[in-house]
Amino acid sequence: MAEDLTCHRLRIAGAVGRYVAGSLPKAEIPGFEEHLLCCPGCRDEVRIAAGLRTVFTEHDAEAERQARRRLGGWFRVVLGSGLAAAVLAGVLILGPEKGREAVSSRPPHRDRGSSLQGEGVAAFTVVEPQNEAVLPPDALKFIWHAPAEDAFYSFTLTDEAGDLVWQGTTRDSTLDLSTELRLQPGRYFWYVDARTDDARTASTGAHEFRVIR
Amino acid sequence: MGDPIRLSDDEVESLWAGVHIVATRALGDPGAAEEVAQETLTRVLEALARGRLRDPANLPSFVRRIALNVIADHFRTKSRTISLDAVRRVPTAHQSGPLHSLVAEEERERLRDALAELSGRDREILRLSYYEGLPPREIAARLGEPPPRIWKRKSRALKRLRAALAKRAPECGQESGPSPTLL
Repeated sequence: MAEDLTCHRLRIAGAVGRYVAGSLPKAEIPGFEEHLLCCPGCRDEVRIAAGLRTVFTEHDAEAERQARRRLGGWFRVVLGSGLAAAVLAGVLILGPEKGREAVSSRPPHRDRGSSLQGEGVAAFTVVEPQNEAVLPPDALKFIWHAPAEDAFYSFTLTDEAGDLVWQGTTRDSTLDLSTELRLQPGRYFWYVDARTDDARTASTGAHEFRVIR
Repeated sequence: MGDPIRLSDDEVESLWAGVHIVATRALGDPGAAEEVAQETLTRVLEALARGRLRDPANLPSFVRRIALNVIADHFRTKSRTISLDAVRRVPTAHQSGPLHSLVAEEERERLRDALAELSGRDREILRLSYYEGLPPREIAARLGEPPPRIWKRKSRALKRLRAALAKRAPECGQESGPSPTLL
């Protein structure tokens, strides 16, 4: 019942991780589970994998909560600066609607992004759509520069009122929402927050685009 | 006909631990998984005593078949009383998954600490392996490193996590978690 060639073969195939993540092909599950019945080493790895899965899930959930908090804070900052600008210009700015996140009549702008600090770090900027781009409603592909190899991204899309349209997390520096979303004509804003495994953070800043029929 | 197959205590314990994982994955409920593991081992030992398995090499598939029957019995019994809360807890690909309960919070804390001491690259390999469920070949392609290096890094990282989990482990040196009580 000790480790044997089966263990070695299963490890090369990454069977434990796929079993725990639910991606092991159905046909391979019986053989894998029969091996588990006899192999303490692989059972041990299953327990570690299950624990790591929970740790990573909690980590992502926390990153998402922080992104949402930042989103709320961002609107408050925008509202504050919008009101100040309105006073200076003598222009009336509408207040937020009751029951909705604070919103400015002037759409939010965060033109300048922030970069991760450290060696070997690329600038964190968007590739497309560039600011004020015009898109058809069925070609929603977002691409940004990866600022670091281990970056994890929180992507946010809002309408011009600042209401959340879509939010999600990814490890890729590309996100294609063409099949998931069909946006109504109008103005939209998007930005990406990055976080590395060693807790460095950066943001692309908000970018505006328009959707036309 | 030869003598019935007899199992040592270590073999029974090993089978119990394996069935417990299989049942936890199927049911997502640690309490139910323990019941299934106990019932399975009871049925296995009875079947072996009656000489229903002749070739010891077939023991793993024999035990697994019985475990799946016990799990199916469990589903039949519980399906009449399943609650909406239980339905809402069905895990998706990006939640912890049904095996979440295999590791206690205190052990997860040790895993977190051990993870924090690994390099970002090693953490990424572990994430892609155990969270995304990617095989090493795909991880290697994604990270631009040869597969042997991925195996080596993963193996080294696992060794450190094992050591972290082994801290303050039970003195018997066996896997933590529930133990068989029927024997």
